[in-house]
Order: sequence, then C-alpha cells, then structure tokens
Amino acid sequence: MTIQARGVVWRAGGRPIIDEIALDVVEHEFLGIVGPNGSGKTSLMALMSGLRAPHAGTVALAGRSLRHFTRREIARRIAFVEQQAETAERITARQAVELGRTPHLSALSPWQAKDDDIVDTALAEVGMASFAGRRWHTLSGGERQRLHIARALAQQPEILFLDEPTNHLDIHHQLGLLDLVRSRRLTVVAALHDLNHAAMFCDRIAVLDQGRLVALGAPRDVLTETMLADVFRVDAAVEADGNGNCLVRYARPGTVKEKCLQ
Amino acid sequence: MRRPAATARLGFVLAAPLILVAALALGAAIGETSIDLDVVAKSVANRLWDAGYAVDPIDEGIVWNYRLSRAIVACCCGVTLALSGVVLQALLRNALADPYILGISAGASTGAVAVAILGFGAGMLSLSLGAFVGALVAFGLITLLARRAGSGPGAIILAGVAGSQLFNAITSLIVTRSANAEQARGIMYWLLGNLSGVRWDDAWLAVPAALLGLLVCLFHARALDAFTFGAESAASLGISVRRVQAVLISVAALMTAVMVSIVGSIGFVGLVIPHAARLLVGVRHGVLLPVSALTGAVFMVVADVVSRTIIPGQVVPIGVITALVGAPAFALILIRGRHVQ
Ligand SMILES: Nc1ncnc2c1ncn2[C@@H]1O[C@H](COP(=O)(O)OP(=O)(O)OP(=O)(O)O)[C@@H](O)[C@H]1O
Ligand SMILES: [Mg+2]
Repeated sequence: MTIQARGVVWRAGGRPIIDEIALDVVEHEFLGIVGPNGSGKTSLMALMSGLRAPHAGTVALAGRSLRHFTRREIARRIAFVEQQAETAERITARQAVELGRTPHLSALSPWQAKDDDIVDTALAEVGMASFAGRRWHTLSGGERQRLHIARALAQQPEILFLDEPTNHLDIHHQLGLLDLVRSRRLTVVAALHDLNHAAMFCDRIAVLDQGRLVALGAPRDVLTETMLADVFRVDAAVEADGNGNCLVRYARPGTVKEKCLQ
Repeated sequence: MRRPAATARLGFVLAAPLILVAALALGAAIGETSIDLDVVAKSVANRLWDAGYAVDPIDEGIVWNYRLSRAIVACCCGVTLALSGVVLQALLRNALADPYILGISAGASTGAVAVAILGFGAGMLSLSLGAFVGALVAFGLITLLARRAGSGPGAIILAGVAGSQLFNAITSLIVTRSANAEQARGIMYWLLGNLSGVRWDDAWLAVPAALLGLLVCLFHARALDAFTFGAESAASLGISVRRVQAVLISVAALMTAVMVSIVGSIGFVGLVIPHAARLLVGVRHGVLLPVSALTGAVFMVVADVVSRTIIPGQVVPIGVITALVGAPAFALILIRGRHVQ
C-alpha cells in the first residue's frame, strides 16, 4: 500500500509549517524522515497518516484521497506511534497494547482469543512479555516506548509511522527495534534523529528543513557533507563502509571551519 | 492479565439487579417511621399486580408514593452522575473532572431557574430542557476559558471554578430579581440538592435519562478506552474524536441537566464514585461504566436514607451529605495525584 502526498501545505501560527511537500511512500520501503528540531517531521507524518487535514494539497492512500476514508478504515491500515504519549491512568502494560485492537473491534463485537494471541505476540516481539501485568507508571521510559510500538504492531497495520521511536531506548533496543520493524513486511515511515541509524536501516531518506523537502533518496546520496552543513549546521565527514552503507562522523563544533555556524 | 472470564461478567449482570432491588427496598423501608421489608414487598406487589395483601394503607402510601419513587430517582441520580464523571474524566483526561466541579451543574441550575422563574414554558420537561441548554453553554464557556488559560490539567478545573461562581451568581441574580421570598427560599433549598418532593412524575423522566445515558456510554466503552493516551492517540486508533466527544459530552450534559432539574445540583458523586469503582475493577470502561453506575446508584440511595434520618424530624439536603463524604475524598484524590506525578 502506498501513500502519496501532493502539494501538501499545513499552516499554524500564521506561517506554513509544511510547505508544498510532495512525497511518495513506496510499498514495503523503510523511509526515514530527518531534519532539525521544528523542521516539520511530526507535522508531515501527522498529515500523511490522516491525523491532521492539510490546508492545501492531498494525501492519497493506495490512490484514494484520505478524506474518503473513515478514521477506522485508516486505523486498520496505518498505525502511528507518537513522539510522546503519556497517561496517568493506572493501566497495565498489557492493557496499553490491547488498545491496538480498537480499530478491529466494534462496540458490539466481543474481544476474542485471536485478539489475545495478537497482543501476546506483539508483547513478545518487543521483549515485554514478562512485563504484561506491570502498571504503566512503574515502567521506564524505554519500556513505555516499546509498549507503544507493541500497540502499533497489535494494530496489524500495513503502514507504520514512527515518530522518533528510539529516543528512550538503550543502544541494544534501538537497533533491535529498528531491525524488528524492518524485518516485518511493513511499509515504515520513521522520523529519526540518529543519521547513522537512518543510514543503516532506511531504504530512502527524506530531509526536511523549515517545512520543505530539501532532499530525498538513498542514504549515501542524501547524507552528504554539504547537506549536513546546510541543513543540520554541523561539520561531518561521511565515509562509505564496506556494505555500501555510509557512516557519518561528526566533528566538534568550531574545530574544522567556521562558516557553518553562522 | 486476561480479561475477566465470561462467568464474572454473567455474575455481574445477574447480581446488579439484585443489588439495585435490595437498595431500593432498604430506601423504602428506612425512614422516620421504619417499615418492615415484607410490608414494603407487599405494598409494591399490591400496587404493581393488585396482589391484594392486607397492608396498612398509610404504610403502603408512604412506601409507594414517597419513598420508592424517591429511591428510584436517587438511583438514577447516582447512575447519571457517576457516568458523567467517568466520561468527563476519560475525555478530558483529568482525574478531577466531574459535572459539579466543571460548572456544568451550575450552568444547568441557571438554565432551569431561568425557565422556572422567567417562565419560558412550563413543566418538568421544559425545566430539563432549560437545564440542558444551560449545561451545554456552561461547558462550552468553560472549555473556551480553559483553552485561553493555557494547557495543563489545572486549567480546566480553574475554569470550572470560575464558571461555577459565574453561573451561581447569575442564578442568584435571577432569583433575587424575579422571585418572591417564598419562591426564593424554595429555589435555594432545591439548589443545594434535594430529593424532597420527588414523585413518580420525576421518576418517569429520570429513569429514561439514566437508561439512555447508560446505553450510549456503554456503546462507547472502547472509544473511551482509546482516549487513554490522549485524543491524537485515540484518532490513530480509529476513533472519530470530534464525534465521540460531541456525543458523549452532550449525553453527560443531558444526564446532568435532567437530574439538576429534578433534584438540584449534587456535588462530588461524579468525582468520587468513578474513582472508587476504578479501585475495585480497574480502568477498562467496559467494566468501569456499569460498576460505576451501580455503585453510584447504591451510594445515592444510602445518602438519601442518611439525609432523612441523621437529624430526627429534619431532612438534610442530600447535597450536604454527598459533599460531607465527597470533599474529603476529593482531597485524597488530589494528594494521591501528587504522588503519581
Ligand atoms: N499547533 C501548532 N501551532 C503553532 N505552531 C506549531 C503547531 N504545531 C507545530 N508547530 C510548529 O511547527 C514546527 C514543526 O513542528 P514539528 O513538531 O512538526 O517539528 P519536528 O520536526 O517534529 O521537530 P522535533 O524534532 O523537535 O520533534 C515547529 O516550529 C512547531 O513549533
Ligand atoms: Mg517531532
């Protein structure tokens, strides 16, 4: 299932936050969205998953405008893991994951053994099966993050949007999680801050800067020293590793050249 | 944690009516003159099926005309307040939300008083309609104010306090301007939350409101669960956030309005009962809603009995009783909330 954004504009506070973005997400690809803070990553993903309506332009899911889908129809196809989502409710870890079944259940259709199995699998996949009975407020940030991912997996989507999915995780779980979502036959759109992770896992990378799409392509084509200097305002050396991937090595600010820090 | 076995659910479905009937029977039996339970049963049988038991007609009159209708309205009141509390707490994601604290009851009172005194229409139904309009206006105003006042869980509560004061002031203004001394006294007494003078007519309005509210809420149980992580998360789980909010807030306002127009505004029930129910059965709305409704019903019948018997020869407004229990509970929730943060 593909998503196409065409001339998408979203404004807030009297200025365009997303400015005429056109972007096609290809079936089963892992698309990384990178960009500085406030560049519009979260906004773009919210628009492309139908959580917000664009002020201009269209977003189409499998060739049909998102406006013609009901919320539930979208939720059966697209799952979204927010950057931060918290609760003060005393729910258990398992109950948080069970919420993922919501779009597949109606008010009158009962919860079934099949749903239990899906939830169990999702918990196991993120390595949280032994935490099932724990209360939400007793869990660490990383554990909560993994449960959010499990909830999205329990939703059984075809497309998974992840907004900085690894920001609370230790390095083992960062890599494990990206590998997990990559290994599923899913289309993944993920906002990532770690450019090396993006290079390692993404089929393509989209670079946002001030609400505009400034680069799109394979990691080694996009992650260039000029782009890093222009968009991220860092000095870095990009090296090719043996597997056709690239590796970004940052320089300490001020040690190489001054021009990027204006 | 597996979901509650089907047997547990069946158990609740069977036990709930029994508990309700027991509460109603006690509500009818206990009072200034206490009446034996078998007399209560016989009186009700006489009225319902012409059973023809020999019962003192005065006792039968007290049971049927006064206490039973009153107990039924108390039940409905407990059900609607508890459900409104659950719904508001879930949608606003605020442990302190309840129709009284958010000023919805105050708005409903203003609406009802405006209808009663300024005389737009007449009768119970138009009183309820006035209260409904007042409740919606109040909620609208308060959410607007809260949005202006900034984010954070405190904003809507503070807006609710301001709104309550405003609407209570408007109510007083209408009363002092337009009512005579006796009317004013009656209205002020009613505003405190009062089940005196409740009759079958009122029950015929209260029961459908409570049942309708219960059905609509139960129908949205999964949607309410989906709000656990906020509205955006609910939307990503396939909930039409705007529609669900509109339907459920309207239903909560309607339930509050009907009850306010019958018994005045009763505080703290909508706050305390959902929290008690959560401690008993957890946060899942499929279970929480019915258990809150039942707990609220029983609590209100008991509170009514207490209000009639605590001072011999006097009836304390039931709102005073619920506040005496509820205010300390409110404080406890505040303190517990601090620890969670
Ligand atoms: N509702 C809103 N009203 C006003 N401004 C907004 C609103 N939502 C987002 N913005 C602004 O839009 C810009 C983009 O926000 P967005 O959350 O999409 O950025 P982001 O790329 O996800 O940033 P981060 O890396 O910090 O998560 C920011 O400058 C933000 O302040
Ligand atoms: Mg973001």
